[in-house]
Amino acid sequence: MGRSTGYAVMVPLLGLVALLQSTLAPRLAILGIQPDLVLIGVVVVTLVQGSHVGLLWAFTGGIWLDLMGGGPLGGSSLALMAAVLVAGMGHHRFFFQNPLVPFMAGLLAGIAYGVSLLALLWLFQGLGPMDVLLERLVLPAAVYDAALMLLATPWLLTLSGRGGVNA
Amino acid sequence: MRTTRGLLRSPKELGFRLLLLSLGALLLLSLERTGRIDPLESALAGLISPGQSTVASITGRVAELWRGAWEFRRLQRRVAELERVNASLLVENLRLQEVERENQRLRELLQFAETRPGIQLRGAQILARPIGFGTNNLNDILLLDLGRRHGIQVGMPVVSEQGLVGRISEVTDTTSKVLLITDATSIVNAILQSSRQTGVLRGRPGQNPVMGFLPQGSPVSVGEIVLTSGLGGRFPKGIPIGQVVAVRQQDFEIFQEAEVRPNVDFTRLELVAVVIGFDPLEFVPVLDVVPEEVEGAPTGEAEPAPEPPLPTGQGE
Repeated sequence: MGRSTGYAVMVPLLGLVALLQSTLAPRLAILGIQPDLVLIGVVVVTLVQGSHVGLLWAFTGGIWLDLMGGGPLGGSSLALMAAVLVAGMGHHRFFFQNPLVPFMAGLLAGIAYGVSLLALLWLFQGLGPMDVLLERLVLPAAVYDAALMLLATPWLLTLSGRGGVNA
Repeated sequence: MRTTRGLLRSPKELGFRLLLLSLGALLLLSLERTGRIDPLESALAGLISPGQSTVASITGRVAELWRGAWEFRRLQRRVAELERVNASLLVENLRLQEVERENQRLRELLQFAETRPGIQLRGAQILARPIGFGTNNLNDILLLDLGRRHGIQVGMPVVSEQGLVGRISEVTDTTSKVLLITDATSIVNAILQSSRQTGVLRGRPGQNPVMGFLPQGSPVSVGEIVLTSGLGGRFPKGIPIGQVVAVRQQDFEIFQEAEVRPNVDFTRLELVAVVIGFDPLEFVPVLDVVPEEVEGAPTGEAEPAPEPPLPTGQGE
């Protein structure tokens, strides 16, 4: 897939995932915690294609999320980019031999995303006690995202074997 | 040995891209904070909201069908032969059940409106239902399919047949955002129905809201009903909010706090109504049976309580 084709695919694809995030994800909530579908998509791309590409996906996905979800515009992009920097560490050769890497990347990226978002919302909206929010929202959401990454691992390994998504 | 394009690129290039995109995001943040891209956001929301509405409707139906499928399997084990014959009728039945549930909700909403003649309501369907937390787990926001064109304005209260949902925090031409009472930035002036103590209800993400500024020594009991007090004139008086589930009292503090479980199940909200006009002085009876200690009281609060000190933040 060429670079321009990759961009052409990336923007609507992320728009669709953000749409599902705002409509479907709440129905997938467990104990009030919903999965971060855009984050999972961005982490998958980062693991397969590396941080360079992942950053673009994070920026675009974040804009879509904020347009559809009502967060401060650009805030989700920054948080997703933080997640990409963490998940990018999984983009190494050993990833292809270790199926636990996607799980750990999902977990750590989920924490990075949640903490970054928490910091931004604290800055703009003055949220309550951070430790409680971390314990009750950020960590459970990261575990949920990591579990979904584990489920996606076989597909991820196939995708990486084929050269993956390009942008 | 496997190599990828990302590995071959230099850290310098990665840093440059990160810097560029971060600056872009920060620029957008600052433009939004200063309100300079509101028209653009409003236009984009107008483009996106029909799609969101459609997908929300589809996912709702799929979820209903999913639930129906589980039920179908359970019944199939019990009456397998009958189920095979009536499979098509079951699908139709599910659809009709959904219509009936919607009717029931509308009837309850109508009853809510009829018992409050001083309040003008406008029904809205929720487009995006971020269970409590927008597109992340930290914001308690709902998106409605009504906007400026329908007379919706920032600050208008939003209710359901169960009670107070929140208030409009942002409006575009065709959509509006509702800040739920559980959001950390939400503040509502409230009153305890039996003890008539007034206080301020503050939201906490992921937890029940807390009613603060309750004077020490005042009797606050678990199970007490919490209503909007109407103080400040932002919300109609007497809208049910929830029930006290815990009281926190420490001798060295000036005020005590009560944890309030909201009446509204935000995860199951499908229809809400925006209060587009109300008489702030009108007292609205909340329950069909008025508790004994309130029966003798005139309409309104027995004695107007002093406005409690407001913490910083949005809301009342």
